[in-house]
Amino acid sequence: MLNILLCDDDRDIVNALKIYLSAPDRCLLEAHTGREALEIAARTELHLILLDIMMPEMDGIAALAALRQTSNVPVILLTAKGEDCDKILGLDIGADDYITKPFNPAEVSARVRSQLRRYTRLGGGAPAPAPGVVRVGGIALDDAQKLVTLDGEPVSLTPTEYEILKLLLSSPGQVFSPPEIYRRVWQDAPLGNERTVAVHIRHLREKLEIDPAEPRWLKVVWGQGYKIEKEKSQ
Amino acid sequence: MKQWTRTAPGQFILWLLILLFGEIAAAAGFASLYMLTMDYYSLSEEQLSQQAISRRASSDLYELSEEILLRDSPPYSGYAEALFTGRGIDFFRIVENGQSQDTLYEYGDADALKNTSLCFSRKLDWGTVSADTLVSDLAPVYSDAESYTEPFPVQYTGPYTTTAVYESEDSFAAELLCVQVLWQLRYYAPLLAGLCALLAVIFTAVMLHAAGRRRGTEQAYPGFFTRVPYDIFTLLAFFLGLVALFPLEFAAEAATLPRSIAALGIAVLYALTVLLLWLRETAIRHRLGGVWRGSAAAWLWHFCRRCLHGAAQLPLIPLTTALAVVITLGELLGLLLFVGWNPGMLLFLWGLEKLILLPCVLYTALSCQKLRTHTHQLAQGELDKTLDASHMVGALKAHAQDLNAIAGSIDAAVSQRTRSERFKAELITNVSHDIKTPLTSIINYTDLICREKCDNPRITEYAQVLHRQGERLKKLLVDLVEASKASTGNLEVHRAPCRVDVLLDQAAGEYEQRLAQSGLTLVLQKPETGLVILADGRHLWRVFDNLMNNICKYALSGTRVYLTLAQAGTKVRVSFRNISREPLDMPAAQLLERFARGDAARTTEGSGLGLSIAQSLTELQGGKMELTVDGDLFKAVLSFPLSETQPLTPGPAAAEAEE
Repeated sequence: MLNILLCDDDRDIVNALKIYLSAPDRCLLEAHTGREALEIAARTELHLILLDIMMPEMDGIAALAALRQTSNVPVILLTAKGEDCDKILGLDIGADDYITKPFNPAEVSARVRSQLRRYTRLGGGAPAPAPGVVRVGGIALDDAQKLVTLDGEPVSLTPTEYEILKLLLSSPGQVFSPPEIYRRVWQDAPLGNERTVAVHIRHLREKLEIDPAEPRWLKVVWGQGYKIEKEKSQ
Repeated sequence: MKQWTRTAPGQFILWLLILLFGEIAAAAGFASLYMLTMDYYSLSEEQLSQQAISRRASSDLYELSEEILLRDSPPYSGYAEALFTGRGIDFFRIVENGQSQDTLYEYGDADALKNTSLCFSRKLDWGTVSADTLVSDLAPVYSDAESYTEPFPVQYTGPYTTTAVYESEDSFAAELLCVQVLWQLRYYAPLLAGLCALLAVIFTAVMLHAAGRRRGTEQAYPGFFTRVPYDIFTLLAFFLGLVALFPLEFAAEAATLPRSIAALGIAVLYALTVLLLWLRETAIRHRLGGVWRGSAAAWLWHFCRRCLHGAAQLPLIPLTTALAVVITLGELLGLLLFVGWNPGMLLFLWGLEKLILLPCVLYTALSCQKLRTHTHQLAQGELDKTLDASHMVGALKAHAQDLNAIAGSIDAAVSQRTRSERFKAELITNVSHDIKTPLTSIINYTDLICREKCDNPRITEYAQVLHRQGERLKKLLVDLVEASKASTGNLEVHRAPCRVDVLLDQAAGEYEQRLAQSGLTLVLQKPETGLVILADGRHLWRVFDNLMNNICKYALSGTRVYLTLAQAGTKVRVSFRNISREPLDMPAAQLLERFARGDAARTTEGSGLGLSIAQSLTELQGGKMELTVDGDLFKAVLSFPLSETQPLTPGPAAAEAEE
């Protein structure tokens, strides 16, 4: 049984989330202030928290900061504040993901599934580094088996996509320019073919990211190239 | 008592007391001074008496010789003898060379007088001093009397003595009495003088303290003379005071002591009165706000200042003309006046004039320079600086003050506008946060209704409409916030070197699928070499994203879309060209307006803010976006200044810049 805490001061939203997220193996708890969320987190073993930011008594940021003192449970911030600075603040304080209101139910479901899978299968803590397996976020690349998994689920990639991902994963945080990617994946000189790289990366992103327009890991550095986001050491 | 001194009788009595003590102090002081010079404090009374007598005698002798010279013209008429008649003095005339009296004066010959000796003797009736002693003491005085060698030598050749009867009422007796009295008073006189002077000073202080005040109030009132300008009054007092010298002169020349004393008293009384009047007036002026106020000099000074100020207020052209005329006329006058002088002197004067004029010209030039610099700064947008106009004059000063006023009002207007824009952006952001929460529920529940199995298909259809419109509202909100932020510049922009050609490739890759869905073919034209501009990659992508999005939405299916990158001079131009599906029945400028849509009916999704956001973001990054509509051809051109710097080598640094 997976315990999911839905925390929002708007009961209608909590109810809607309950409908969307209800599943036989999930137990959905609800809270309406940051304080309530902390109380529930203190007495129940939680597997995931969806946390609103703007709430009475204690806001989501404060609650998250307090929670992170004791717990490593995945937290998805669910808020109307959609500005970049708000997102950066939330992720810096220790949120695992960020969803802006008004949200797409399918997207919420996908992110919840992703977080739950990671947390339950990988045990929340740092995963045991299997030899030959490169892992960033929920993406794992097993070069021995030529297998890519996203939160433990295998993802089917074309050989070119696989090579590109392998190249990017070889050095997280480093920006690879399209010509460089082309040279190293195709083993050929790029003669105006860089566009192909962009198309492949777009596909790759659609397979690996829940919201390809706002990728979490496989990022586009506009005017420079592409990179895999470096995982924050917690 | 203090109040009493302020009344008219009080002032009058004080005045009298000051004059009285002043007189006494002056008299005693003079006497002391006289006694000091006459050695009253070192000699005995007898010696003093002898000195007095000899002085008297010497004076008499002088008078006598004058009488002889002036009046005893021949024939000898006996004036000299008449002079001494009744004064107990015998008078002889001795002519040593034996010439007769008549011949002596016959020609008025001064040489003849050299050989003339005069002699007179005192008939003494002095108990203590013998006649012989007296005369022998007198002798050196006369024999050595250099003062009598001019204008003619008069020699006393003695001793010739007679025993004459001393008559008590003559001038010698008066001298002796004087000596006696002074001798008695010789130690009291200085004391008396000091005491009386002190009293006079004290009473003067009291009187000055009360001057210009009335009973029961500390307020100062003008006196009788206050209308007269102070400096003129002072000058007047000074000259009136000088008049006191006449009685003093008289006192010095008076034949008799009582007259001399009376003249001295009058002189002192007069001088004291004038001095007191002046002091009193000074005190009143001081009480009324300083001696400078109400003086003729102050008036003159203010008049000159007003004249200068008035001249400075003249319009610039007449003022300059007048100055030029004055200087030219001055030079001409100087030339005419000094035309006879030597050329060196003329050159020196000419140089001197230029040396005087130079600072004035430099001062004006400096002021102009200051104004120029400040105006330039204003033009550059530095509105917070103020020009110090305190050292400028006339039109320049007015100009500087006007400049400051302009800068102030522009500054106020700009900051007011910035504030209100920022406020607007914040308001929009906050309102959108508040709208988003209920909107979430609307979208979610309409979605849930759509999912519910329902017998009535209309309900599902209606719910779908609601859901669709909810989604549109959401998009509108997001775009609205972004548009307000972009147009007010309330957005962080991190400009970094950015490869436009790479960005173009990335954009093409991102949009390939959507373009294909819309039935569009993308034609990418770019130079071989990479072009670098300074831009914020994410914002630039938003611009590209919006433009490409527009193309996907509004371009005619089956046509080609041209994306062209080119370098034009120091600019990098990116143009997006496509054929519009709908006729564009509005000018390009109107497309940029917020909420403008290619189709007037507003049926397709989209907020109509896309182009406006793209333009604002482009401008925030120092670029320019131009739209052109040529029939159905829609063209958007972005131009950015070309950056000289090479893009950062892709690596950790770039990755961090991205964060």
